[in-house]
Amino acid sequence: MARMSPDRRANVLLFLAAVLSSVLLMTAAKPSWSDALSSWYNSDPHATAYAGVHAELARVFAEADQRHISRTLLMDRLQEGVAKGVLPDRLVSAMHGELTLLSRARVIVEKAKCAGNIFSPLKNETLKDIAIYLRSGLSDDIITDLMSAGSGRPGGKESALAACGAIMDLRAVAPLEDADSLQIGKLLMASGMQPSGYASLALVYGLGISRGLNHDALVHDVIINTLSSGGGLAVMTQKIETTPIAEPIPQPLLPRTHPVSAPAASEKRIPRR
Amino acid sequence: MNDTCQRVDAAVREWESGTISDIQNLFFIINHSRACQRCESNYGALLPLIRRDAGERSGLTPYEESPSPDFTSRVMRRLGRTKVYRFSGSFAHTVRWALPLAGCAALLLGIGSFVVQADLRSAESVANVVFTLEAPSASRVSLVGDFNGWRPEALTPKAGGQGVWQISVPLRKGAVYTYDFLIDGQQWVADPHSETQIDDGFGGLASVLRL
Repeated sequence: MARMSPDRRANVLLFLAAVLSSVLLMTAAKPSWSDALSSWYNSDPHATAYAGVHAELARVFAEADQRHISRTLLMDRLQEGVAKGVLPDRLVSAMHGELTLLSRARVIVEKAKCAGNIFSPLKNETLKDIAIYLRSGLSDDIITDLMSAGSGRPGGKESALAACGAIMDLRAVAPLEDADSLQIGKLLMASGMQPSGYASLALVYGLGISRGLNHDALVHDVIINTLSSGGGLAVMTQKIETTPIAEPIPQPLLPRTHPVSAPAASEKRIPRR
Repeated sequence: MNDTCQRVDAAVREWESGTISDIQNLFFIINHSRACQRCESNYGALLPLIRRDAGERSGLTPYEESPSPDFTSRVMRRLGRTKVYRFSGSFAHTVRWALPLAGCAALLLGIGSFVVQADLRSAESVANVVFTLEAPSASRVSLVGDFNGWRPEALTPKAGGQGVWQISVPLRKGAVYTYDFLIDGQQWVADPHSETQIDDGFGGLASVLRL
């Protein structure tokens, strides 16, 4: 620095000033982004019904900041609750529940060591997807194991998330145990199938049930054995179709965990204007 | 008009229509035009021709008037106000100009290719999903989900035959969406065609769509 000419020193100072200005601008822009809750209260006419719980909601959002959870994810759930006209107390309770789910999702990501670095930061979508899987009933351990299996591989995270989704869909129609769920998820990820194809597993299961196969035969003989031996959906379908149709269908598809079209009629709602 | 003046006139006309071929002829014309009172009018016409041809042929030096006596002092005054960059050598010159320029060019190329690739990726990664709901008694149906910010007015399926409401929505692949139908602005209904429905945390259900 001491040997620099005055012109060059001026250029260096100009450059440092430009960098500093950019940082200050970014810092100044942050409050407008992070104060999404207040903006919502000021802009949405439906927010007046929730004026009484503003402080509680603000606390939930502040806690989210402390846990490094994006407010955007909470705003999404807030908008869902408001659109559905839930009562203020119910909304606050649901937001606490959502924050817990997102925190569990974050722990899963960190345990699986697939948290983003400076070049590929952790996406909100990843946390949101995991939170949905948790809400569907998948255990933290299954998701963590699958995410760990995909960690460090190209496309591993997407593959793991797709495997979680396939298991979620399968468990919606089949009484699948955790051990089988994890095994199927890992086999799917190792199968070389495109992650978008994992979703067809529930359909294959449904096809097997309709052909009269029982649950154990379908899960172990058809799905797990086929995937273990390097086969895919085509082989599973072939196995099912070559199986003679049993007279009665021994085990129908499980009824859905929740009845379809259940808007909770007993639940009090705030009517939309 | 003497022979010399006629010769200069002819040479100027010839020059105007083309280029002068003989340098000696050029000096002759210039010198005569400056000296001869009759040919003085030609002098003004010569300068644009000289400028036009200057540098086009080797050895041709554009004619310039002698500098005024205070020319040097004016130039030096001006130089005193002008920022002069001095380079210690060819390497310093390269570092100062060529590397930043190359960096800017690489940055622009990188941004351009990223934008193009992002467009291609986004075009490939969007799927048109058709949502349908059988609701014969409904007078109005909305498709509401996290893909439209849970705004009931954003997506309104059209009624088809036999009370089937249908709408096609472009959605990004590789994501998980939650949504519901809203019938007549009052009744929230999970999609009976969705593979999975989960507890929405508000006392109802949310349909899950994974692309």
